[in-house]
Amino acid sequence: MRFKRAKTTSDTATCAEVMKHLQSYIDGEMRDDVTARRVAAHLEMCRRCGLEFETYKRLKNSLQQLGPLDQQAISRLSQFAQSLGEREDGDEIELG
Amino acid sequence: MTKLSKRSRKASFDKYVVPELELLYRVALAMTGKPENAEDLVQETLLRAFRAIERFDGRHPRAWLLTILRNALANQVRKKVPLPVSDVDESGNPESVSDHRDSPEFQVVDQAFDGAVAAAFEELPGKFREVVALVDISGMSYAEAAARLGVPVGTVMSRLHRGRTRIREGLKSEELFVEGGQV
Repeated sequence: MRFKRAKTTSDTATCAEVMKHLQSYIDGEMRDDVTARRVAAHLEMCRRCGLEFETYKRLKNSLQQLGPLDQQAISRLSQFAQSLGEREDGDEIELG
Repeated sequence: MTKLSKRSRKASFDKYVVPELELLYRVALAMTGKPENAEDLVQETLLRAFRAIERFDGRHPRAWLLTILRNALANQVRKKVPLPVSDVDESGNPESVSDHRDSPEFQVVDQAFDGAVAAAFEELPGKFREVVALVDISGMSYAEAAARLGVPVGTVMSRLHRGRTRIREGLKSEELFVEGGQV
């Protein structure tokens, strides 16, 4: 019985190539469409690289949710912290 | 243990806790998803930290505070989120679950993930943090970020990669990842 050989043509990138381009690929910053397609093809078939891709994509999604901080909230928290320091015991504080 | 005087207790609080307010709020925001809940969570964290400051040894204040914050949130979740018992309809059959990722367990994992990312982002050295902020948070292209910072695009790519890798390493230390995938 003959086994089908793994696809190693130039249609798919190698793991090393994928790692080299992964960040640019996630950011949609790849200038070379051919390489981008080869990376995409490799990610379809390589579990390890696929997981790496999913990990960084999720990390980017999480980072995208971080925006500038509400300085008024920070100011209120700062006042709260200050009020704690002025008391003898935080047990007296009631949280709103 | 000798009880700290009011003045030294406040001094410790000002030294170790107050400088971390923004970090705590950032992480709380990522973990709760709502500004009002985040503010409540940070207040609870500050109160717990104030009560425990006498027992804090002064080492790794961020890690100490983030542990307090996570415990405070876990306490809130235990109080508010019902146990994930399978829903059963009136005929006694389990209701179909359209997407198990909506379940409380997964929400908690997602919140922990987002919180850990926020904390790791705040821990980044300045030159990595500014690039991650411009590209990932502000949505700039590499070229735009390079122009803003006055550095080559290659530098932006390098710092971005290193910054994200550091964040990922931070997640590993939080045990939110196993090798090759998410827990």
